[in-house]
Amino acid sequence: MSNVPDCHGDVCITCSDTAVEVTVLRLLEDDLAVVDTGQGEEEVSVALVPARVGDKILVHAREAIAVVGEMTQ
Amino acid sequence: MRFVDEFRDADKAHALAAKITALCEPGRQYKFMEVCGGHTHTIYKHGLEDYLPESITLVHGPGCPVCVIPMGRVDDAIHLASQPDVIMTSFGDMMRVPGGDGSFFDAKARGTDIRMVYSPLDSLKIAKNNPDKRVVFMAIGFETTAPSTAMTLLRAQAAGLTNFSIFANHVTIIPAIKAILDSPDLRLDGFIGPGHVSTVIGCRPYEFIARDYGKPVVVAGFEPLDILQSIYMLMIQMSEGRSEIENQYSRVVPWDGNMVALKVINETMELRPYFEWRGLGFISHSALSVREKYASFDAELLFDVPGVRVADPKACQCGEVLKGVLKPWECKVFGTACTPETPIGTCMVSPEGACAAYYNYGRMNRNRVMETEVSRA
Repeated sequence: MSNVPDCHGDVCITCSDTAVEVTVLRLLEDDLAVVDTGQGEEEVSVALVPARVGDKILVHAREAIAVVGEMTQ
Repeated sequence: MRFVDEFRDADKAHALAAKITALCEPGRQYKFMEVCGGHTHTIYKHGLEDYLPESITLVHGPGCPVCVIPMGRVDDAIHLASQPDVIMTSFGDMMRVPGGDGSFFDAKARGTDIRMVYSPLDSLKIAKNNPDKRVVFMAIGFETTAPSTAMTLLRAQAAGLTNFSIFANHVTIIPAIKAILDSPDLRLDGFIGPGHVSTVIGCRPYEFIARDYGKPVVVAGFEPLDILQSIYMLMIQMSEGRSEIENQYSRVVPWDGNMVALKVINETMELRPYFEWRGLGFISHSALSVREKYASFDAELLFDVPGVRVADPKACQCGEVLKGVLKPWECKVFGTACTPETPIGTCMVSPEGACAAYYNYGRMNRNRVMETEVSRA
């Protein structure tokens, strides 16, 4: 992740209060994972969620905070 | 695009809008606050106000972390960044926020080493790659970003890093909502609850709003239909005389939040006695600082932080906008002296700021919207 993308979109996808949904491609050591953002691959932390390969997760500032569609009221 | 198109279906939006209109009592005005800046952005990007009857007003809340940071805090951060051997790292949104003496971008132009990062993990990498520098992360955000900062702090400790610290500016949403509810300026009928903050804190912390203030809350997702459905759910509660906490965004938000995330926040950070919010003033127990146990990662202890206090520019009315008392176009400098290119107030900086959302999507004033509606008719 040497090339840090600039936040030039109309919503900065990891900043502020908008998180993004991505798909887990591979789990790595140290609670990290490679995910498909729809616009390429990224390395994120999955230390706070029970993520498995294929799960859609909600990522905020490169930290997954929820597994989408798994938890309901 | 799957999982997106379903939530942007115009026919469904019109159908929901019709159901909302049917629930409006004639002659009654409804005011709902969307707390989160992400919702404000969706509302204006998709023109959702045009779907709603005129008797429903959406009031934009303080849920943009960039917008609520006081100018003095920016000056403190720049002071900190100007210390010898310091590399300051920050999210992109923060770079253009004006302090009393310019923004991070201005400081960077003067030679201060301030770098834009995508996440605190990137700051950690910079620290690892620059062992002779002191790397500080400008930590900002609500409970959505705090887990990321907390985990990074734990990772820094596990890696034995001694040249990484955070300048904590994390704020918590509940005290801000309470401050708004206690504000005499504003009469609200209900809240569209923040979606992603709630993935972390869950829905229970909002229960006091229904119990003590008699206002309904619907935690909402970020797609257009999510927001329209949440307004419909609020209207149903209103029409049935109920005030409850409901979760429209249950595909993502668990009722109890993310306990692991809350645990790591609690492990590394604690509530400050008080913190200054732009527009709202000092609010007790409304922000987080690094716990003593992790003092070696706390930039506020490692560096001399002057604690600058700067009054907002007189022309700027961000405070009123943040409290929902004024609509952005009602601010004296909106769209003239204050634009996204040269913001005076923070609400014009972040895409999630109410003023920037209005400006970017052409909502210069209510009249213009009306004219559009008339011409369409």
